[in-house]
This record gives sequence, C-alpha cells and structure tokens, in this order.
Amino acid sequence: MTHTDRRSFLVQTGGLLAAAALVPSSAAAHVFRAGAAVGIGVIGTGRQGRNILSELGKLEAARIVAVCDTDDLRLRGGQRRASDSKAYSSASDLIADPGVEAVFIATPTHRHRAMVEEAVAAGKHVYCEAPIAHTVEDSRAIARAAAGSSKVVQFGYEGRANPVYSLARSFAVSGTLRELVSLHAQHHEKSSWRSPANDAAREKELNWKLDPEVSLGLEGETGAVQLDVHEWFINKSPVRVSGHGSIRLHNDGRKMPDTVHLRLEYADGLVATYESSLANSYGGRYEILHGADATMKLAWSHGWMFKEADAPTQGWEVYANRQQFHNDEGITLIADATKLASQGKLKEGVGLPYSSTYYAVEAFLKSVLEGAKVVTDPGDAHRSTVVGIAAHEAVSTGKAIDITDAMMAL
Amino acid sequence: MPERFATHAMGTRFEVILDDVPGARAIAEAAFDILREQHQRLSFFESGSHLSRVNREAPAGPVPVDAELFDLLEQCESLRLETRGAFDIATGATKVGGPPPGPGPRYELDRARGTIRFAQPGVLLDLGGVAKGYALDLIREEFAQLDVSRALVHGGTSSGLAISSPPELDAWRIRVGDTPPLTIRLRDAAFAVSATNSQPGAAGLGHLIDPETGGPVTSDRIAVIVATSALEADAWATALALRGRSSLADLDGRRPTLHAAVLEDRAWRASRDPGPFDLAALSTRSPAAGGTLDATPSLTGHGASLS
Repeated sequence: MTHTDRRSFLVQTGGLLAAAALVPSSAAAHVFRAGAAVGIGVIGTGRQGRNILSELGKLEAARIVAVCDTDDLRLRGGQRRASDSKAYSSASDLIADPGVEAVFIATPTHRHRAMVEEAVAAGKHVYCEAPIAHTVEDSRAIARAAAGSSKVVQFGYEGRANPVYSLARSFAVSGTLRELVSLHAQHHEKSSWRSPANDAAREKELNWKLDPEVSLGLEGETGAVQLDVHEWFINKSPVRVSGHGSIRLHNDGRKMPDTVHLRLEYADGLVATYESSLANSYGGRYEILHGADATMKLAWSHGWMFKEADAPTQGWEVYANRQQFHNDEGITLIADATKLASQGKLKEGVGLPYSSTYYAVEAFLKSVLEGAKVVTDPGDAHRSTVVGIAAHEAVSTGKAIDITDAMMAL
Repeated sequence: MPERFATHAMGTRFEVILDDVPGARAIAEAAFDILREQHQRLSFFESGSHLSRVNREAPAGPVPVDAELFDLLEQCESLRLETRGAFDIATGATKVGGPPPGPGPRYELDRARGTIRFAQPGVLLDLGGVAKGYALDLIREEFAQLDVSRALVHGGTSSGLAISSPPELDAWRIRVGDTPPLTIRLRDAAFAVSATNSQPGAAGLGHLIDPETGGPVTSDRIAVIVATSALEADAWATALALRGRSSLADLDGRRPTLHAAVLEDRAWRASRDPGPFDLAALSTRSPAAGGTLDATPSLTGHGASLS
C-alpha cells in the first residue's frame, strides 16, 4: 500500500469513525417529501428580502405566492425572483391573502412588531428577520406573540441554523475550548449604508438604518446577530455593555457612526469585544471564541479551530484539513464530514455549499412541513435583541449600560 | 469633474463613473449591490451560488430555480441557438479540464415547475460569458429608476454600458486594442470585448474555449459588440471572437441592430452598419507585423472628463 493509498484508507476508516462521533449535522440540502409545499408571502423586497427570495427559489417546497413592498422599484425587484406571485403594497393585504400560509418579514426593524402580531393573529407561520425589534417593549411583545403561537415562528438569527456553526458549537459545549478566555466579533464592510432615491420621502424611507429615531445602528443591526452566536455557544448573556462610535469615512451629514466598538461584560468576568465598520472591508464578518485549549473562528461559510500546543489531540485531527494563517494553523470545521470522508472528498467539504440564509430558510420549512424543532427560541431571540438595543444605547450615550434581568424577561 | 467608484466582483474590478453630485456614492453602491448579488447567484466557483447548486444537482434530476435565473437560462439557450452554438454556457467542464458536451440539447427547462435538468452527461453551466452583461443590464434599469442622467460603468474594461455622454461631448470614447486601435463612440448603449490568442502564456492572452472542440481557440482576434443589451453584447462578442469576421455577414442577417467589429490579421472589419465605430480605424492596417493582442480596451476621455 502506497503512502497515499494508506492515508486515503485511514481517512475513510479511522478518520471516518472519529468524525462520526463529532459531526451531528449535515450541510447537504434537505429532501422534502414530494409534493409538500408551503404558500409563502415575503414582506419587504429590499436587499435581504431579495436574498430570501433567492434562497426560497432553491426549494421546491417553497411556493412563493405573494411579495410586498411599499417601494415600487423594490417590489419589481422581488417579482423578478417570483414572477408568478401577487404583488402587494400593503403588508396587511398580503397577510390576509388566504394563499399565504407562511410570512417572511424582511422590513425595517422598527416595523416588525405590527406585522408579526398581525400574522400570528391570522394563524400564519412567521419568519422574522433579526434583530427582531428596536425597543425592548416591541421585542418582548414579538417574543410573547411567538411563544403563544401554535404555528412556527422563527427569527433571523441565522447562526443557529448554520451547519458549520452547529458543528463548532458541538465542540464548544463538549469542552474542546476548555476555560473561555475572551470573545470577539467583527463586521467590516466598505459601504455608505445609504440607498439612493430620487425624492426626499423615498430616501428617508429607504435609509432608515441611518435614522437615529428608529435604527439600532451598526451595533444593533449587525451586532445583535453576531453576538447571538456568542450567546448560543456559551448559553449566557452579557450583563453590561459600553461602547463608542465615530465617523471615520462617511462624513456626509449623517449622525449614525460608521465605525463602532463595544465591550460586553459577563457576570463571571468574561469579556467580549465587537467592532463594526462601514469604512473598511478587511476581514469581513466573523466571530471568535478564545479558550485555554483552542480558539474557534467562525466566518459564516467557513469555520476553523486553532489548537494550543499543550491541548490534548483527538484522533480525527490527524486527518483533518488545515489552513495556514500566518503563524497559526487552523483545522477546518467541515459539516457533513462523515459522508465526505467516506468518499475521500474531505477537502471538497471546506466551505458550506449553500449560504447561511439558505439553511435558516430550509430549517423554517422543515419546522412548518415536518414539525422539526424551531431553531430559534423566542426567549433567546428577545435576549439577543435586547443586547443589541443596550449596545446602541451605550454607543449613543457614551455610558455603560446594565443589561438587567427585567430587560431580559419576557 | 466626474467621480469614479470601484469594487471587486465577478473576478474583476468594476468601475462606475458618475457626475460629482451629492449621493453619487450611494448610486455607485446601488450598482455594486447588484454586482455582488449577481456574483453570489451566478458564480461558477462559489460553492453556495445558485449556479453551483444547479451544476451539482441538475445531472441527477430537475432542480428548482427562481424565476429570475430561469429567465436568464432561457435567454442563454436562445443565444446559443442564435449564434449557432458559438456562445454556449454548457461548456463549463472545459474550465476544469473536462470535455465539452456532445451535440444536442444542453438542458431542459420546465416553466410550469420552475426547474432545470441537464439533458446529457458532461453539461456544466458557466455564466462567465454573460454574467457581467446581465448585471450591467440590471444596473441600467436601476439607474433609470434613479434618474441617473450620465454614467459609464464597466467591468474590467471588457464589458460596459454608457448612459448619455460626458459633459460637452457627444459620446464616451472607448479605445480597443492598439494594433491598430479602434475607437467606439458610445452613448446610451452597451459594449463588450472578447479576445482570443494563439500564443499560450503570452501576456494578455485570450481565454476562449471552442465549445465544439473543448480546446482553446487558436487564432488571434478581438471582437467588439455594441448593443442595447449588455448581455447580448457579451454573448455575441464571445461568438464573434470564436468564429471570426466570416460570421459578420451572419450577424448582419440575424441581428441587424447589433454593431460588430473584428480585429483579425491586424485589420478591423465591421458589420454592415458600423454605427459607433471610428471609420478611420476600420480602414487602417497595422504597420507592425505581429505584436501582442490586447483585449483590454482603455477608456479614454477627452478634455478633463475622464482622464
């Protein structure tokens, strides 16, 4: 047996067995029962709404029957993805459509509450983007509506449906990181976050993220979703947040910072930091968990684990894929590794075959059609949203904000 | 003075040139959003793209695609038939060392179910030949809605579109090649440039694969198309670079509204109606024997507008 053959053999036998014990989830597309389909309406056909329509278009179990937006141009963009669907300019009209069984809400954050409550009251399944609200009161009301619904209500905290993240979390909860040292996350994007419009009213509507009256800013809009990953992995919330924001590039009259930094403290002394900027794209979006034995870096389509030299080695690591990052070598976290290893295709499994949004949408349909457990819990969604709201208050006021039990309670 | 904005997408650098007015950055970013969105949907190499999913699953059976991708695939099949197979998105296998598919239908589209399935083994879809043009057409629609009165957008200088003209000029000037150069006067139209090169390894070599043989095209050509649709310009530029000037008459017959020019044997030849092409260049033969083909047009402004 040649060296290559032996290595291949080991990957397919020893490696397979080791991986089998550690890989609980699959990155492959779920196969729904033939003919099973849900009538879907999508409210909000801006960037995220169109993204959702794209992912729904990959699923035969998703029958898009209606799209809705108050903006004609965006509505047409949505219809391009779902040409046979009805077009509504009123969310209430879409919700009232008897052909709509499930409603996706991808509108500005501050408009979520009324739509979620109306859709739940109408007996529809609901998928609502995250953060779920811009005030604690609205967030609580939405979470309560979800908890009281007999239908599926899922929130857009996508990390919880992501196969790479599920795999990484299984390592984290089994103690692979050992004591947590610190947490970090970043969102870097070179963008003004400003949408063009040819009239003032439309410009105000489209640019709600830059409106201090309704927007949670970078720290809430991007931060809540990423900090939810930390929350999910370590199963606890920060108790205090402080932050700072400034305008580093987009000095166009806006009041919202284009760059923010957060420091989040946990009751046991653990600290998380977060940086979000629209002035620089380096590094993109990722979350990091530093432990005494290993560090995990999660970047939505990819994940890596960096082991400390004195950390115990597990058998499967010998055959794992690795990537070099300057002086550090990362073990790639591969979803569906069992199947790939059996086929000698582990290297092809680096990176998810679908987008993170796809897995979130697919999980929602599995809950609706097959009764699968909903991947986001209303209480967790509320708590992660509250963290975003508190972070925004910290950046806006320059004061440290205590995240109290009263704020977190449903 | 115009403002220039740039981003990387679809494996190249896109540039948007706009009047220096408040909100110009937001307008450029609206274009970039479209480019990034389409890159994520149509990339041959990104495992999470819609196209990659079709390539993985359509050999085994029908794969659902959204209406937008369905329409695009339908249009690409029409263009394949129209170009007599010279433009063919089903030859992606040649990009990874495989053979092209055999003759016959490439894929079956089921509009009622919104699905695609491959009609024969060896089919692998690669939209690299039209993705830029498709995105540019969407950008033109977006800019029209935003009342953008003047703009030039190009991807790697090989596909582009012009809205109106630079201040105090009748058109944007696009120069293609240098042996000899051809100048296009572009106004409210799209352009595409495609090149082949017979000298593998040479700088600026073309990368076209002949869909019939699966091998690289072995002659030196540059083809330029000016059209209303950037997608059609992309597709026909590919076809013309493959087939050469002998197919100009065919193009004239099938698509008389397209303007085409081909550089072959160091001489430009144009379609029946040269339209926006500089006639002087069309009658000029290169004084130099040989020389490197340069498929990359340089965008040249006149006065202070674009330099």
